[in-house]
Amino acid sequence: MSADVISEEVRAYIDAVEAGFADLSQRDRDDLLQDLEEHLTEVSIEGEGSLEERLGAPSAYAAELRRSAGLSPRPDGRPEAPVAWSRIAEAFPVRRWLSDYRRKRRPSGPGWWILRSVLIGMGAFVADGGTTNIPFPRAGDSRLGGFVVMVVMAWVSVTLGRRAIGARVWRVVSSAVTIVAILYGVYLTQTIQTQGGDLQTYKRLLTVQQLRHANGYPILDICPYGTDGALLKGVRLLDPGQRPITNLASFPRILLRSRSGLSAEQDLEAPGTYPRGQGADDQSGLLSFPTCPEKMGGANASPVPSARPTPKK
Amino acid sequence: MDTTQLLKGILDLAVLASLSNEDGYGYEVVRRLRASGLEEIGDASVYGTLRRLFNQGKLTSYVVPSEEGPNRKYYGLNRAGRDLLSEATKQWHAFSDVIDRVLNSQGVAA
Repeated sequence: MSADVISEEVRAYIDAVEAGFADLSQRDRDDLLQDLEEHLTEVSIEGEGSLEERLGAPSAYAAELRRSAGLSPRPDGRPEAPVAWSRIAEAFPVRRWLSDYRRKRRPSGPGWWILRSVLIGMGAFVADGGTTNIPFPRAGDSRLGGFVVMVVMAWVSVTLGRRAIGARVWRVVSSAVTIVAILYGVYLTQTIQTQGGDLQTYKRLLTVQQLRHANGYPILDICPYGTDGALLKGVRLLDPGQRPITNLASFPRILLRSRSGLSAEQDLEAPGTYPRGQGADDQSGLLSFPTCPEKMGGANASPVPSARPTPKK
Repeated sequence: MDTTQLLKGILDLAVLASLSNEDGYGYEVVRRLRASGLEEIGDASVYGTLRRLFNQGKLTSYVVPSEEGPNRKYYGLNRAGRDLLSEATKQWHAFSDVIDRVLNSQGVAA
């Protein structure tokens, strides 16, 4: 049974050489390192000076070893890649997946864990059918398309990170993309809030004095009919001071706006225009947004809500 | 002329040749090459070349357990390795003949 004691010096040299392989895949790294311990032990047994004196600096050893083994040399003067990045990069060895049939190699590493959590989260949104109020990425009108785009973008992001280890130009691109992504994320949180897409805004809107029937039933829209019973469109309702009447019950309206993509500005241009909901779709499927029938006394006529006061919830 | 550049070009041939008579472990190959005059050769170069030749399917490899020292991994030529050695040897002779002719035709003394 051979002695498994490795001297401190050998261990330190091995670690230093291994640092020179941080950007390589795990398979390449293992391949290059498998003879190293044996070699260093032999050299230290010979006992002629320290390992560094005898073999040169570990970084030089690493560079020459990978060069003669036919692997790409690392560019000079580059700081060592942080190990986390290389582990993320090796999680997506797409070329290796395509060419390596015999080994069943599943994705692994922190990069895969992150992407997996994103995919599961996005999958939950798709499965939910979009009844939550959180914005979901869409490609055009397709949630599935948006989901696919998100997966592709995640792959692009990791591939970019992997390239960034090897070449300076990709590091610059990667840093620029990161900064843009963070700024855009902050921008998104701001715009979503001003469009009222979050729960706090919903709650605030509900407490604003809103037009309701006497029994509390919310008035979502106003359907003006002319004397011939036909629906009038684009009617402006103003008070004698020319102030538009806008405080209808607006909770579903916010939901409507953020889904159909109407901007807040459109409502500001012509406030007090009725009917409001005409022609706009409610895409969640949860609410049936009442639209005005073209003729008075149409299909969805309901009895006038009674004036009986109802207890507050 | 920088001999290290010349060495890099024919390192494969040198390593294959050093294993042609007898298998050897990594450090043994380094010693054999140095003993036959290639004193400039770097250890890492030899090991990297051994890995590359092995990955290219030119070498066999096996571990010999040892009671007193570390287990040693031995390399040896397989059929493909012997074919490559003979092919590379022919190329080397052809190449060095050409260079000799160039030198002679230019009247350069040997």
